[in-house]
Amino acid sequence: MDFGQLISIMWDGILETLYMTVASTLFAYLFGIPLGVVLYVTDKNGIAENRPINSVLGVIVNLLRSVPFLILLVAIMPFTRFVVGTTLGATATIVPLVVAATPFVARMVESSLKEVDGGVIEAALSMGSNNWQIITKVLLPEAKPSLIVGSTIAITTILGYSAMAGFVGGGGLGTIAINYGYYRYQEDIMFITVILLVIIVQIFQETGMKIASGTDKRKR
Amino acid sequence: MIRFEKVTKTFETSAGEIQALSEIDLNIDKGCIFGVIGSSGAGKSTLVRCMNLLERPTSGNVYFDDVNLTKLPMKELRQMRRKISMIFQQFNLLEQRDALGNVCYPLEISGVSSKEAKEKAKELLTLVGLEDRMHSFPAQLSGGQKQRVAIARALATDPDVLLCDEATSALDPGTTRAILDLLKDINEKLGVTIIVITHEMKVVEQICDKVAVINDGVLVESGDVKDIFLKPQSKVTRQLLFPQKDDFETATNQRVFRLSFDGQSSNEPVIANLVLECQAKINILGASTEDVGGKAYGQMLIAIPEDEMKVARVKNYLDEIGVHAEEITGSGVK
Repeated sequence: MDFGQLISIMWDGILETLYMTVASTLFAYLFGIPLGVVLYVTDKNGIAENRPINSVLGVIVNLLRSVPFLILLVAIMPFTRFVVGTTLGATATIVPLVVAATPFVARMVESSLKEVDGGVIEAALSMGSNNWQIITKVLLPEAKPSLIVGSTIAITTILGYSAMAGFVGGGGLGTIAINYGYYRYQEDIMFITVILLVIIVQIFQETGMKIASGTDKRKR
Repeated sequence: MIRFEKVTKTFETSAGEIQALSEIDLNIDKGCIFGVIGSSGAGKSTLVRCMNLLERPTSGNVYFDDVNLTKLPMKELRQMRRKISMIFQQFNLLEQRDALGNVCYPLEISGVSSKEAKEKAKELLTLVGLEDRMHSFPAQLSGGQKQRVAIARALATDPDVLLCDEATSALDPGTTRAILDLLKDINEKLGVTIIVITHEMKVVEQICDKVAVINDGVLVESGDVKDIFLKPQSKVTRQLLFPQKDDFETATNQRVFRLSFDGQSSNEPVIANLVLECQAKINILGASTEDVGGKAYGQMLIAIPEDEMKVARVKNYLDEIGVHAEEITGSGVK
């Protein structure tokens, strides 16, 4: 394998990894934000307190979170095939990534919302806000900086999961590391993929933190 | 305007039931400034939250303009809450919105267009004296300025009632005074009925027309501020008037006066002058005064030996320098 080939393989790996990670994060937030909001508002003393809904959702979230990702990945293969038609490649990996990340994201969202001062919610109630207005105009905007910090943690976690999917042909840098580094003993290639993953994590982390502090109006 | 009928509130806690309010009857007239005073844990905050049903009474009824709030469906209650605004000890502003955005919030949720909301918000911020801080975020404002934003926000929906829950308790004396003056101004200019919850007698003294004293969830006494001050009926009220002393052991051959300082110069040694001018052996029984920008506010209880001549002289002298004095010998303060 010459240098040009190596570059081309690595470049494809990076793109696939970014595709899986970003798409999975977006879907995980699409489902995770509503789930997190419901967990928060139905909690004890929440604005729509509902113990049964809260406990049922809480148990489901905890169950999904306690299954190790590699096992979940294999266990839901029939579901993955049903959704995208295959269990191989980057697109197929998005399905288990979303399933694994959504409950995680929901808990992150819930904890960000818990940071919003209860007095502000009380003030919003005293002004005659309904629950939808409190969620969309008070809770989420007030929690925004914390939600962004949470999303950088989520995206790096999902990136790590996506590399694990390399073991079952999930595509991206993880697959390259397994195929070349593990099966063919080309440790130098494995080493390069690890370095690339570290760099991507760094970029996500730094950008996320910058956006979070840039958007936070509580400073100065 | 607001009427309580046997309002009781009980909280279930892990430590058992707590009776926060028991059978409170209260009637607050339109256009007045009504104070509710009590020490911490007396039930004041619960009481004020029952007025807009942030807390639902366990039993009893709350009327607003003869509408029984406890019987209203949620949707109508939300409409009603726009007429009963509230400000808080901790201001409770939206941290991620600037002053203008905060004042716009209640207008946005009641469906006012954003352009109209902004115009109204600007007017209100000017009214509270923050025309140059409209685009500042709460973190960039001082406590007093934050409370002004909160007041502007509370006025946005043209409320009939403004509930103030310890609105000045987190502020320094000077700022407290300025905020209370603003509230008084709003009451006079806009005719908004104001209900002030506080643990400080001087707040009541400064702006309230009527006052209710509550202790352990029970309404101890209520009436005109003047009457409650001159003839406090209960030990609780006396404690609030003079936190440092609850009962005055005065000898029978003394006459007790209550002096009110209402903005006289604090540099003037009033009591020393009184002693020298009138040759009277004055005993200070208790005092709760404060120096705000070189002016004295508050009150003091003094005892003068029983001697018609000297008492007359003291009265004259106080009259001359403009310190209001009321004799309260044997009128509840023992």
